[in-house]
Amino acid sequence: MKRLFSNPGVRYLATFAIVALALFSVLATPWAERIFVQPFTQALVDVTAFLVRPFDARVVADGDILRFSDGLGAVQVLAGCNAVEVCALLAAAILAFPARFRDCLIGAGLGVLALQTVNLFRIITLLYLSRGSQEVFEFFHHYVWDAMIGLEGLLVFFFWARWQGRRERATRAGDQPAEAGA
Amino acid sequence: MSLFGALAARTSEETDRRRFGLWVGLALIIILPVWWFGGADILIAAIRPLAAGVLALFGLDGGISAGPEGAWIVSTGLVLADGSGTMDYTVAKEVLRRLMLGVPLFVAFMIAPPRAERPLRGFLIGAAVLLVLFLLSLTAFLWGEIAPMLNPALAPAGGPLTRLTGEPLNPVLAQIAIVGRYVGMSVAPLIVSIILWAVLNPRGREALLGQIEAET
Repeated sequence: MKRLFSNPGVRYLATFAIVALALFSVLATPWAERIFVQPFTQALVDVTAFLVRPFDARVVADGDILRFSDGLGAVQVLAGCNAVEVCALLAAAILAFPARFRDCLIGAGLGVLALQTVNLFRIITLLYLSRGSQEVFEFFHHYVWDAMIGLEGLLVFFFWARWQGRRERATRAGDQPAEAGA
Repeated sequence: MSLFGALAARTSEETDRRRFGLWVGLALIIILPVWWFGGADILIAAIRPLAAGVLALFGLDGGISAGPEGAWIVSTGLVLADGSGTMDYTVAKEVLRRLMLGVPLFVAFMIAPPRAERPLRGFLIGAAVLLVLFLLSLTAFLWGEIAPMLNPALAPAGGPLTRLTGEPLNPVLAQIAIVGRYVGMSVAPLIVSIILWAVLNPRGREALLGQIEAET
């Protein structure tokens, strides 16, 4: 067992699983829902309306609902539509990574920002798709965008891990002459 | 340097990654609609008896009948607080399809090069694991919905619309059900399909992640 956990890959996966489970356990509690998830989701609605209104004055934010003033098409932004789950997963993957904690925090912050930017675009496209076929809307809602945001999280993690690797190599290369000279 | 020159892959690992990404992207464009608009429903209908058996193992009455528009009506056997009988919970078609998202993702990963040496074996193992994931996610989904109905303190603001009589779930089990429902409906299909691909296709994993492993 001890030998198994001396393997860096296994150690990383175990740390990732613990951090992810902890984050998901917190996010699933009613108080996290009240204190964080609901206000954050409401903020997403307001930001989306703020971004779209200069281009389309028909878009109205009404509580957690984004709708068109002509009555054709609306979306309700619920807890599952805020990409918080993928953000938590990405943050867990980056925070568990064997790197400087400060770099992990920066990576997780930028990753979450990237995911939320794409999620805003997702909400806007779903709002416009809601004016058409319900079946096509559901397809994009449950499959296309969920797959895209998940894969974006994966891509962000790959880029971050490669960047970390390059930094590590550069640091090691910079240290070697000094060590040789010492 | 020209734009195309700047965008060109510089190493074989980079070429492999780009080819993999392109294949996955193109495969998803074809597989996702085929699965959503047809394939998923056929499989969902086929495994309904099996799902009923699994739900019975996890403490629900377990009977599942076909509802309107592809929904499942699950007999929970739990008594409604208003005395109108037992609760039949309707699982929407969209929820069932959502729990199946891992299938198209896994297929897209598996058909992208570099491919597994024994693809048929990989697909069969993947199908079995994704079936188990679906059944467990469905169970967690239902118990995650039921837990606040038995214990309104677990419900988000406003409380549950339906109340049930009976003992609330053990707090640990309730937490497992709620987190399980949350994970099953969000990231589980993605994580499981990636892990399956990484385990079943070591050649592809080494080609795409080898450099990262060496770097860290």
